[in-house]
Amino acid sequence: MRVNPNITADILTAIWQTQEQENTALQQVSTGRRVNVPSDDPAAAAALVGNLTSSAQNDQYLQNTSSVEGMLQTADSTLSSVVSVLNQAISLGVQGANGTLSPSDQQGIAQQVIGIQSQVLQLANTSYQGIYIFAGTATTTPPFVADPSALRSHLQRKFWHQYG
Amino acid sequence: MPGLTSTMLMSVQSLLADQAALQVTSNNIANANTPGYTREVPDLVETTPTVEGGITYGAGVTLEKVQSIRDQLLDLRISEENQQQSGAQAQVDALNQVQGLFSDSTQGIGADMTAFFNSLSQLSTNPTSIPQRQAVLTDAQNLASSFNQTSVNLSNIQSNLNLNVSQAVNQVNGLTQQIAKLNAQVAQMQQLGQEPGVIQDQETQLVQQLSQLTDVSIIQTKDGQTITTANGSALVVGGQSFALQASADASGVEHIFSQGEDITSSIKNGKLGGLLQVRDQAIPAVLNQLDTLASQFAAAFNTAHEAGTDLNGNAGQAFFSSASGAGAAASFAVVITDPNAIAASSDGSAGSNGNITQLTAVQTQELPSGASPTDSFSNIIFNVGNLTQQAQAESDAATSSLNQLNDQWGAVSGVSIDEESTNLITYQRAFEAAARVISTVDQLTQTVIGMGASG
Repeated sequence: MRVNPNITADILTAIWQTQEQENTALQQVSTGRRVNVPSDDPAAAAALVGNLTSSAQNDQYLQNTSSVEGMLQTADSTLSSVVSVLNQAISLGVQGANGTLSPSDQQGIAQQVIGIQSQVLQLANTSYQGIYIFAGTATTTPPFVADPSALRSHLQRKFWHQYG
Repeated sequence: MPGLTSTMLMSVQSLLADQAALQVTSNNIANANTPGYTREVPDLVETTPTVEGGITYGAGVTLEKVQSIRDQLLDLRISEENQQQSGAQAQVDALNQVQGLFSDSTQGIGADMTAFFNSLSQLSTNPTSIPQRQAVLTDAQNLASSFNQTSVNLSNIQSNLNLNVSQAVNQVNGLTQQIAKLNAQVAQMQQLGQEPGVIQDQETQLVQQLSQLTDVSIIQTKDGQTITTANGSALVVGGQSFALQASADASGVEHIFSQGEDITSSIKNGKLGGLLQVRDQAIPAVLNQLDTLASQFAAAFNTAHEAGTDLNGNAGQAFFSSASGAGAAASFAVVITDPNAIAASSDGSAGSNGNITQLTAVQTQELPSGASPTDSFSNIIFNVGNLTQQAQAESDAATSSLNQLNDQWGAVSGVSIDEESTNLITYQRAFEAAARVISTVDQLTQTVIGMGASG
């Protein structure tokens, strides 16, 4: 049987095919990726879009939580400070209820309570990076203002009632 | 009655035939590596015998013709496979450019859309922050320019293909002209009883080149090859060729006319078919998907944005603008320039991030097309990748069957150096033997003359 005497074309085709496979393998090794163009695996390339989006979203969520975390930590420590100064106010109240105190001592205690009030006010208006954290969504204006006269008159009424 | 003289003449004929055969063999050897050359064999036939007194005497050999060994059916199969292979290859080449626009997962529409939604998400942690609002606008602009750029690049590939179409049409016309000339030459030679082998070799070569360019059907007639386009209009009939015309329509798209008839959509194979397939089907499909995504995304995002309130307490305006339908991706733009105008608030207060939830939800909510923006984009990538992969597979399959056909062609028409070397020895021996016959006859003649002198 007569066969194709010119086999160089077949040999070259085989060499080219091998070279192409080699190039693909080298590209995979050098990029570390199996899919370098969509036609390498269309379904995988399409899925990659969704996966990259989800992965980036998750990264963003983590970043969001860490930036909110700072704010929450500030809120937490502020609230503990409020609790501790209110505890002080309670013990001052117990102290002031003692009938053996002189009016001037009682007034001194009342002064301290007024001071505590302004501390609590300051804590309630705590801001974190320019945001008033206890202001709900009205984050740009201080949410609380003091009414010192109300507290003073209340204290005076109390003293008047006890000591007539 | 056979005599010495006729034997002498017969031997001279043998010498001539063997010389001719040697020449054919040496021509085969010389053209062993010439592309398209079909091997030739000397067609040696017995000379009409002489009959004398009831006895038939062989009258020697003559070289009737030198015949090219070709299989015309095989040539037709190769032509068909060339059309397939070149068409698929042209598609692969063009689609590789298209998929190049979607190959880098770290940039482009997909990555920019993710970045845009992430910076919105970031803004939710501090909705009054101007730098973060500015970041949202910057990412929105990046997304817009990705849409624009991808659309422009697709159109550029399309217009390059358009240019290639008119070039290919010129090549087709050049080839059909040459084929018609050769057709005429073949016909003339056949009329004169000459063997047109060499011319046919050239013609077959040109027909294969033509097959690589466009759809053709080839019919062998007594006037040579009649070549028509896929829809039957003539390209070459006998010695006459009919040129294709490429002319651009109003939007600059080249259409192909054969004798006044627009045959653009009937061309499916060959380089032209591949170019047209990508220019008229693949790229418009991708552009259409991209435009749909751009306009529906802009509309959905605007609806969500207009439901919110911006930092100045005003109702949200349109965020993106985009033409509807064709050209949406190319015209996609960010309307808002003032970072305060981002409507993050759902209740009008500055610190509310309520509307950002609605804005970021657009990323995963279904558009009217039935897929979310992210899914729509991954569908585009899938389609581009799939088209390229299919064309690649088609091209590979056609290439391997073309190789097989070429092997068959070589088995029939290729020059085997071994065979020719063997023939060389055969004809050399025959030539030597014929020469020996002549010298023998010469001696015999001398003897006869000597007889006469002595008698």
